[in-house]
Amino acid sequence: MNHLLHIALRSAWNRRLTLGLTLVAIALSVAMLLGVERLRYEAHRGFSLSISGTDLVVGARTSPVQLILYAVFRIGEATSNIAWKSFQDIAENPLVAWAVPISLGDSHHGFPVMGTTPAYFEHFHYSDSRQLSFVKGQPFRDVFDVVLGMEVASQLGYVIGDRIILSHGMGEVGLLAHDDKPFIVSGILAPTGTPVDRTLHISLEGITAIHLNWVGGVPMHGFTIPGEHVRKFDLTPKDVTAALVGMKSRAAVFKVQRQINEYKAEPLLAVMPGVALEQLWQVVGVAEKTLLAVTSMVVFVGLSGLAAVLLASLNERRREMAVLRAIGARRRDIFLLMVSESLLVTLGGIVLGIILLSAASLTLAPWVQANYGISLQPALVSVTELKLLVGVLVVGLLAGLLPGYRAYKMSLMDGLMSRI
Amino acid sequence: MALAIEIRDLRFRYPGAAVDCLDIELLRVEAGARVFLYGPSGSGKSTLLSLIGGVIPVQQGTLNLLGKNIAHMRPAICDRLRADHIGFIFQQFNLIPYLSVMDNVLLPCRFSSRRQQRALAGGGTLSETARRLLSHLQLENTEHIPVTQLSVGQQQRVAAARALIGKPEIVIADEPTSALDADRQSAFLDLLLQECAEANTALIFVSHNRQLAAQFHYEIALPSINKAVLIEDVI
Repeated sequence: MNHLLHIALRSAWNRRLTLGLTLVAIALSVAMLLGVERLRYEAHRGFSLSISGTDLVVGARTSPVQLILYAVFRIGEATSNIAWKSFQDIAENPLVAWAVPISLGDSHHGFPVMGTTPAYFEHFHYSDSRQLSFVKGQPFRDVFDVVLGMEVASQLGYVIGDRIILSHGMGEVGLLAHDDKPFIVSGILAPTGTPVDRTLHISLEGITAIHLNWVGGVPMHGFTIPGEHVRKFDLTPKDVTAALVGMKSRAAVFKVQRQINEYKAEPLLAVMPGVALEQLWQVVGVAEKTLLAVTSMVVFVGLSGLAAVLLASLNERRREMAVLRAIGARRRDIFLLMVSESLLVTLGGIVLGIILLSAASLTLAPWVQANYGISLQPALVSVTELKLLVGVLVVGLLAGLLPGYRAYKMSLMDGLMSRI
Repeated sequence: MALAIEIRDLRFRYPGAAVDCLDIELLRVEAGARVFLYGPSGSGKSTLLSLIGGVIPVQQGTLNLLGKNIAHMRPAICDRLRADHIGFIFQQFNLIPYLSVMDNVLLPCRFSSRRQQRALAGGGTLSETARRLLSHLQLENTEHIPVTQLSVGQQQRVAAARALIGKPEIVIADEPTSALDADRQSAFLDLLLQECAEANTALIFVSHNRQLAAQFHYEIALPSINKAVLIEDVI
């Protein structure tokens, strides 16, 4: 067996150009397959770790997935808000331990701005019950204070005391600026690996203040209220986008959820974050399966190329096979020789694929984090990935069977007399 | 005297063919004998050699290899017998192009532990034995040259070294000199005969050049009807 492997290795090395190209093709397809799987895993992990300790997320009636997407992940926008009165009713429910309102809709250089109360910094948890912490400064106290997520601060180069202008609406260009009321950075949060890092946090009063002189999404013409005068107005919000709610006892979750869903004054929706995420995975699952199928096809194409290359080489290797037979190689050995060559190339492709993927994820990690909020962790091969790789190896083995069988038949037919 | 090969009432016909390719009543090769097998092309020489090597199965008759009838033997056992007891030299393209001279010569020892043991029996390591054999065949200092850069004559001698390593009982040379010019033909033949005599190896030398027959103990012809005919018994 050992000598066959030696022969297979030397033979493969002898045809290193064609086999090398095939190996690279397999490596790329393997990197793609593992890359898709790794992105999927990291996305799941990232989403699951983004919120913890919150029992219910409440918003205007919509789909649970949409609510969780905009309220927790700042993806998409709310179609309607909930009245301040409704929020107060929820907060005053005797079964509710705490309720934090959030108000979305403004942005700063593409980063979302979120209005909330200082209680947010106390009650919002992520990962495994980890609390938000400040690397510098403190929560907002004044109407025009802003607390930055780590990524906002580092990407835009802000420090405590900087003045920033918020924009009305989401997006990067063509937005109306709240330039009459600049905010001052009061604190910067430690990195969390969640959407918090990309968020600017201001008080609800701040949200109300910058929209005081606005009607229907645009500033009133010729009418401005300078920042120093806004404190004379009642800055209690009329409505908020959503609320994060925590229970005194987890057993009360279903009861409160039902109460909120049956709220008379306006249609509300309360969802448990875990349940909504589960629904999200069901929606995304179809796309994930399709993507996995497509990348599997790419791997299959790569391995078909390998089978084709091995088959094409058979004719020029007829003489070689006959010589090996004459020396004492069994028919089985000829078969094994082809299969082991196929396995060697597949194995080489897998190893190179893993190296390529690791290099790519190291280089692209910051970009993926910035654009998609998915943090790619440098990781060894996971169990799921291992299963995929075993699958690739099995298909590689199958790809060697056909050339192996052909070589076997050929050597039977040729005997010792192949004279090419 | 012990028989290396004994063939009785052997008939062989390829599937779909109208006539027998081989029909041999009796053919005997004693241990250590030098046999010249003469036959024009199409006379079934290669088929006969493949049958003796156990590469294609015997259909009818008896084929004793060192006293063992290989007819109806399992293919894997035939393969083992071939690896253990027979060395082959072909007309050309004998060598595995991607293996070194040394690896080519040592190949039979990789496929047969008997050949390996016998190669080691002379004392020294496998590569020392191979080097000794190569120098007997006037191939000193060639072991690291890629085989594709050797001349045809050198390649044939490397093939001879490979056939002889581990002292197999039978060496079958299938027109090994036809790619060489006349001078080199006789030089190659001398070396081959000398080495076979030293190892007491029976040599079956196939050629259509009857001028070479003089140096052999006897000559067997395969005329067009593909029957083995003993022409001249020198012993």
